[in-house]
Amino acid sequence: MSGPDEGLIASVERSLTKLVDFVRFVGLALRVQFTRVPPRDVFITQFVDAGWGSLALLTMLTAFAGLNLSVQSYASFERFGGQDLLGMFAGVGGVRELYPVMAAVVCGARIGANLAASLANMRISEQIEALEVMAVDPLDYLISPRLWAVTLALPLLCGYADVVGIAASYAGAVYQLDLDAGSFMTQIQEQVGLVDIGAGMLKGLIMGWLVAVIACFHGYSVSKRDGADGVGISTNLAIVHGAVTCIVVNLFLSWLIYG
Amino acid sequence: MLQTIGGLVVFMAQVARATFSRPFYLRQTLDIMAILVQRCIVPVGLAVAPVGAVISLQGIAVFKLFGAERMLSAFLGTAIIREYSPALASVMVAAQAGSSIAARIGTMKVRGQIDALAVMSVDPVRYVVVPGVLACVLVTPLLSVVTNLLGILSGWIFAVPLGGVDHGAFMDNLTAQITPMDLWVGLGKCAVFGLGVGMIAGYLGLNVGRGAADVGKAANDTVVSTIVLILFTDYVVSMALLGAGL
Amino acid sequence: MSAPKQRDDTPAVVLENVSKSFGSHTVLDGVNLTIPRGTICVMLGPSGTGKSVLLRCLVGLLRPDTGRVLVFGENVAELDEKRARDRDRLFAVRRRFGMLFQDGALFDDMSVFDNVAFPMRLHTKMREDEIREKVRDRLARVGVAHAEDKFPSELSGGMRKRVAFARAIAIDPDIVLCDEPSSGLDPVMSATLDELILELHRTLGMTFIIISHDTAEARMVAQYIGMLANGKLVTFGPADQVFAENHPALEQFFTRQTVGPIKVV
Repeated sequence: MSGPDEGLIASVERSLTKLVDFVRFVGLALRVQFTRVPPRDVFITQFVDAGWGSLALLTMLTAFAGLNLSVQSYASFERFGGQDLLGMFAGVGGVRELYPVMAAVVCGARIGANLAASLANMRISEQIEALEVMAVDPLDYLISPRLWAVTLALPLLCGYADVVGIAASYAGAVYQLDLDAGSFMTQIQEQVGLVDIGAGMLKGLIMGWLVAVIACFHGYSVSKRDGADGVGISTNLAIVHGAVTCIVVNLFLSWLIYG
Repeated sequence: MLQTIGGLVVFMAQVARATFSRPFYLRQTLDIMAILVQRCIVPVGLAVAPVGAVISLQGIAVFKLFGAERMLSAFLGTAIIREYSPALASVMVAAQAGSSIAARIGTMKVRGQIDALAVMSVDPVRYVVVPGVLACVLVTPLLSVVTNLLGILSGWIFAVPLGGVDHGAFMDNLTAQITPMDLWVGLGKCAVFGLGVGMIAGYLGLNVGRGAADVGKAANDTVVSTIVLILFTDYVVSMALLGAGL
Repeated sequence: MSAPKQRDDTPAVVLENVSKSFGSHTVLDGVNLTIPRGTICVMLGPSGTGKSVLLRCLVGLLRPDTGRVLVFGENVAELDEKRARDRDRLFAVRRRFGMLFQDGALFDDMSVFDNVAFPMRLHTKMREDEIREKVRDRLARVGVAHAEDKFPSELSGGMRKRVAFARAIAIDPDIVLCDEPSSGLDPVMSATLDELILELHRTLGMTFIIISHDTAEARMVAQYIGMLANGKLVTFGPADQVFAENHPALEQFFTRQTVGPIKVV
């Protein structure tokens, strides 16, 4: 964590070293992910935790986000008499952008923080060394199943968020704003294709992997000397870096797909 | 659950009383504000800027269908200023600052420093929590001014040079449609969300469990619960404003 | 499972001129020692003198800058974990070790039973019922048979160490490393743990290497004693010999003097 008194050069240098470490970690991660089969039990535990464990939070958030999307866009569209565009905008904006990003940022924050905190805690309490002494490669046993679990869970969460979100924005438009239900649904059916849902899930896949690899990096690279503070710092970095990365990467993915 | 709500209400009353009565720990507040601005400006900027771009990217396609590309900038402006800039800036403040405030207070609690303060007859709420809450309330709107500009700028990039919308039409529409009210709504939301971040961080920090893992959990819970709070408040505020015709 | 014990006279551990520095700070400075098979060796020394580093060099968690670390004749110091072929050899060596970590290093997300079963499930072809039997045997030996369904967070410090001990001896290692077994325990509990070490040594006959700054523990269990001070091995040998010789550093340590060869930093 950069203290306020740190010199600029020192801080740039530190960031660069960290970046190099990260790139190296990504290399290692990719290698273990694709050369060896992850232990099944760990994968299942992590997958259930990442996916099922995020459902309640995601349901609540996408419901509000879907409602908001209707209500807020209504306020903007009304100014130039474009209320009728609402169904289309809520569908397209939601499925292509808002729901995948939200699933990645919010579930990512939750999952990423858990991953980083638990790995960091394992590091400072010597559990990672214990694995090594027992001739178990921690990258194999800890990192690879976590990466696969999150990468595969997030697209499913995105798909689920699409359903909840569209239902919520329908409810907002029809019951709160008294828009015509038929025309709202027609617009969604006409404008939102399977391609869009697929593209959203693809985004989820990519952002899920990124969130996981960032969180694992921050948690795994904590040193024993950092103690309890190290756990807090790595958790924080995992959340912030994960969220920013998702939002930025989402823009580039959208640009590639729709630009 | 009821106990938590009760505890939170009592806590909020404590914070309110400590905020508006002497002694004031102005120095602590300014220090935290400086750190918050320094640490949040980059993540907040990076989070909001792409949103403007995405709105333009997807908005153009929608508006084109109706030959209304010139309306894009009005939509972009209001969406950024009233909705996305406050919500995202606050989420990032929660992620970056809220979680570390909670972790800091939690660590102090776990190490017995909070008790030490109380023994030295310094009110921990006044000394540790209030500066954090004040800093969040003041810094979040400040950051959103910057992110408003960044969001609209990135939206402009994707609308005008990359999207083929006429620059004059873009600017005319933007200035004609955005009212001072939009700005106030945005800033007001930021202050409210900032208050939420500071309060939740302080509450979860002071009520941390016993060990290092609990500190991490407090930091994590701060982020997740403020995101829930922000989206919920956002919805209520939007409905109220819509009802009031603002 | 332990490897077939041919060449029974090979010492368990031989260090030849082992040095290790972190930056400008020299932690181990030309250490030579030989630990025979089947003995209990206690390495004493003040905090921060490289005892822990020495232990980690034995299992290849750290690599010394110079020198050879022979574990049953295999030079661990030349094995680089990043190279695939070395890795297999290193892992084969590590399978002959069990290690008791300072705070146990039990896996938080596993029950006591699963913690002890973990090395068996990964490194042996034992069936689940054989595993259950063996885990129960290990837990009974360390006196925590009643706790197999508990989680590490529900255990007291002493119980955590016992469970960690059970995990360390789970697959009959040839060498058991103990990192400060008595740290954080009250005198009665640490004495109990020492008795446990003696008991396990008598019944299972493994080599024990214990690092400690607890002089009472050294007197109770040690067959061999080494003393590290300021990065150097100042004395090493069979316990009665070392006690008879009474090196000044050892005397300072045992009599709790602030003045002597050991410098307080």
